[in-house]
Amino acid sequence: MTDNNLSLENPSRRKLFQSRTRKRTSVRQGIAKQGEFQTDNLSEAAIVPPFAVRVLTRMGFGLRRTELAPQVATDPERIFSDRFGFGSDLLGRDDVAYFQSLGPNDDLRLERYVDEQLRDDLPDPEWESRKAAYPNSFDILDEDLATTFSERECQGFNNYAEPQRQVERAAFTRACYSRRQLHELMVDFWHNHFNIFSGADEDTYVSWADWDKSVIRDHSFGNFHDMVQASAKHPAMLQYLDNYANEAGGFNENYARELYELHTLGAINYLGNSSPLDAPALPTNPYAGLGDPLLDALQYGNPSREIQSEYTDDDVYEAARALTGWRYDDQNVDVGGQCVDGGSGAFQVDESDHDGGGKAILSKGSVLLPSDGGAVHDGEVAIKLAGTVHDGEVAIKLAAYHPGTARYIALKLCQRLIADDPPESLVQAAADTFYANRLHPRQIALTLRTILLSDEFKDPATWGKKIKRPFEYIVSAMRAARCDYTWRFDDSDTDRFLGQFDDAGQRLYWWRTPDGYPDERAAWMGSNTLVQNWRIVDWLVDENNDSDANRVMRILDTTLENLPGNPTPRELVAFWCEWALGFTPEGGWVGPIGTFWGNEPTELGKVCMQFVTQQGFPVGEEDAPPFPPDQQIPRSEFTEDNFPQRWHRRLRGVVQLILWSPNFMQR
Amino acid sequence: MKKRTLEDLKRVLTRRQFLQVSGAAAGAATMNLSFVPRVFAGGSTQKVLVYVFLRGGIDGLALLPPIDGPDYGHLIDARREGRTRVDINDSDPSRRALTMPNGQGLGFHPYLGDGGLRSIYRNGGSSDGGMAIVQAVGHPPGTFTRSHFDAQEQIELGQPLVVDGTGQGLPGNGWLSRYLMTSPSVPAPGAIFTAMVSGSAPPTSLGGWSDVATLDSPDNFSPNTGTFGSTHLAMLNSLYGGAGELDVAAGAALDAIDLINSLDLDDYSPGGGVTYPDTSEGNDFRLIAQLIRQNLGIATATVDIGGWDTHNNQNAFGGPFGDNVRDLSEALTAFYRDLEGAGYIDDVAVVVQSEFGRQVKENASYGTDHGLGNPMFVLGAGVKGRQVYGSTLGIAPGDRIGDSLVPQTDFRNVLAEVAGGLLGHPDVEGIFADPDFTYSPVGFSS
Repeated sequence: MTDNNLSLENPSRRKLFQSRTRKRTSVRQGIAKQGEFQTDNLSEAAIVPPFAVRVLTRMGFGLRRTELAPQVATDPERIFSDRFGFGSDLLGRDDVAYFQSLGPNDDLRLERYVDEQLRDDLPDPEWESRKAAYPNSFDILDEDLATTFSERECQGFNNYAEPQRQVERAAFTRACYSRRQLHELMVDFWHNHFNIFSGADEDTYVSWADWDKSVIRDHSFGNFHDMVQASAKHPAMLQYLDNYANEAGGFNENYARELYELHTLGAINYLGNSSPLDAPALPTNPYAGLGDPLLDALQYGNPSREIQSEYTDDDVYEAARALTGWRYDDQNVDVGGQCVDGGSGAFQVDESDHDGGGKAILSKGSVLLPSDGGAVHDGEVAIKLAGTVHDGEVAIKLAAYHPGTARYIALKLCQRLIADDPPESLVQAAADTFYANRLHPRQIALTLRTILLSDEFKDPATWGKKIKRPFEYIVSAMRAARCDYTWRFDDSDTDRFLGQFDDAGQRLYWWRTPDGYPDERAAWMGSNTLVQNWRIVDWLVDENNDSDANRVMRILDTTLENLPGNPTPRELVAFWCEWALGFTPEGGWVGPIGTFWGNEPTELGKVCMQFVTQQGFPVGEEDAPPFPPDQQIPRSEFTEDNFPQRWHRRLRGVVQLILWSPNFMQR
Repeated sequence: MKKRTLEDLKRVLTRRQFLQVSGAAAGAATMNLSFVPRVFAGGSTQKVLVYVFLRGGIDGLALLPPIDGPDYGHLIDARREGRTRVDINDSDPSRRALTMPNGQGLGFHPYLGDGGLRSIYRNGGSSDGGMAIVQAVGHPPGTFTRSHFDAQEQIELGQPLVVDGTGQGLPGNGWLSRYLMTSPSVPAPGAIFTAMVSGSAPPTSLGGWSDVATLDSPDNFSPNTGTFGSTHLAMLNSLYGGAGELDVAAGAALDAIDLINSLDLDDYSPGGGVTYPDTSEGNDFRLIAQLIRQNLGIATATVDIGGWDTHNNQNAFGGPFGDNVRDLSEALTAFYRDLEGAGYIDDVAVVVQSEFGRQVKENASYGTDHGLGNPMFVLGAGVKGRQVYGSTLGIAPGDRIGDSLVPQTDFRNVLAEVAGGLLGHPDVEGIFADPDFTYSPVGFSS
């Protein structure tokens, strides 16, 4: 509040509130009663950005600039070789120019960019150097699970929580600085898809670095089935969804249910409380001819067997039975309950807790997973000797390899990358690629390639139907406004930042239910989310009132480096709009010299110009007088920030408005 | 999940009707800073529907356990003492279930006593107002689901889905949105906000209604408190001046900022001399009570309470289940008594539900798995309390489906009776338009 003297008793304050909001409130209530919006655009002030900006925004955390590349005319005849040659050092310095340098037309540029982003061997020097600069903040990330688990389990909160906190800080730093932007976006996607509330238990905290690395990161572009298997055997998941306590004679369905409902087939393929005998069958057995040796050894590999197109409660229960006895090497306690040793977190089984009976999963009631000791033919005898592990693995395979899963994963990927309601044609194409590559080690990369090179992805009509969730919004703001800050331990800025970020409602790894953070825009357009997003940007932009060297975002440096002499307000606005948004529309963000602020060609231009010149306000701000839009500002004013003009604050205010604008919020 | 069909519930309003700018809302009352008059022209008062959703599937059989009759014996057979069983004859007196007048054989979890929800139910022996309970509520036959996602979505959109794919498809908006859209008294003249959410994001039940203030931590609600803060805020207003979805959402956010800045939320005296517990539920309910009493035109408020999905170590008398029951009871009781003391409770109806119940038999990890039928609570607005409504098949093993209590009352009947019977909405069948559904009141409204 800028004016604390006015209490709510003051009639004039109430009147100010009412007069300002009355019209907008009425319009909003009118729209609510009508039940629909008159326009398809999420915001009328937003402009569809050019291709390069759309790609960079959707395929990662937005464009990054630390300098403006010299304007080089692209040569349409140029042939590009398949190495990180021309223009590669522009990535991370001027992402838009980098993208433009990748080819003579948008289609080729996109293809090269996608293929580069899908590589596993991209060097990532900036992340590596920041990681090396703060070893205490990131040393657990590469430690093996057994070491971390045994050293930190039972050692008190500060010890066992540290792996989780390191991952949290690393996630922000990587999202901001890694050149593997698509990879970071997908890591965030899979964390949500296989959501675990990292604060659920000591064991989730302590194993978090390994969860992030060996389950999520190692599989983000890889094989989906392998990722599900890895997730199922990890102590964090075994703990969070109770599978470690799942035992014969009274199984616990929690993990099996979420495995089917959230991780693989999805609720779209759930037939509720029906009998499996009533479930429709797929036209062909999806497991026959697949080439999975375990399924082939069982009757699941038999092409004449009927497989359900959807799953029921009974399939969940049977899968729960199959997953009984799965455990991990947890801490050992003595009779007094005191911890004796931490354990290693390694996956192991307890045969005595395993339900060894026959099971019917997705097979219309036929017991195709035989009971222990009840083998029918040779292959099955060998498998059933290791029943406890393999029963559970089969339950997972049946879900992961099912065509319904291909559709569900494809849908979620399209929702993440394009729109909440993605074009059906694209979902189908992505599902087909996913399904055709079920055993391929780069199945997810291939599916992404289908989506990202599609006409639907390129089509500007699909743009702008989503808004950035807080993680994307804040990180993209930092990238766009030239951040130079590493989130780390023992730093008050990091601690304050993370506290604020929590208020925005997307604290990393902190969503309590297994469905993960929602991805539809309605969940992120509530007043609380928007206000907290704006507040965090305000804090980032304002943080530290000393020199730019200590600030999180180098707004002053960027301005002084790129605008020689004494710039005018108009030049400031034009520069920063182009810098932060990555483009300038035809006709400019602002008009030519002499344009009145109310006549600027874009809404953003109007607002920025009105603000920076402090024109047209009925009540002035701290006696800051209006300033002509085309008069030069003495360069030293930006650093000195003298009363009454306060140019440093005005400059920051302009950048903030751009980052708050719908242009920046939509994707 | 079936493809969504957009229910066409547009009401074409004249410009005059929805631009009811009275401008006279300022009022000079010193204590009560009414933005909107509480009594409209014509004598009717602002009605408020408070929708409390317990996420995860609360264990109704531990919340309101059978205490006599054959069901009592079935409960004892199915559950372990001290784990998930709430037993009127428990060896530990502090764990014993409490009696319930007109309870149809049910009792209260002990943590609902001590001046909590049980005393609202009993209401000093009167059946006017207070709290009513409907037992064995849930999805109708043919639509049973044990998926949190599906059950919550269908309840919040107000349309159960037939599992074999026949029947009505999902509407595109929440049932509360349709309630507001078709309510003739919404928006009240000069209303500031017609809906509020006490939480971080709007629920699906309000999907499609854009006039919502979503408030989580109102003390941190201004985006720029430094120099140039006012002009900054003015510019933010201009940036989002359009009529697109994001424009409207941002406009709501900006109005919420102005609203919070205009109120002094810290200086609040709850009615009835109550003190809200300092829990997240307590804070959520307190905020709703405060804003209702500011007469902003709020017609609906929602709050979510999570943590009920107790598959493992449910712990009926400690954490998580027992503690959550106590927190719920304390917070909701404070809310009720506050509004009662301040003279609002006759116009505020609170309905509490969960997406489904839990199975009768305890599982091997001392927890319970997903069930079906479950109780619902209705408080305030002149409900005929002190009574358990609705029939039940009971929990004899042969009467369960999938080891679960079978719902006998369609949840839509409860919600519709709250909206129509208690709050006077004229067309509840329009809210729950479904050829296979005929509204049949349970009977808790006079």
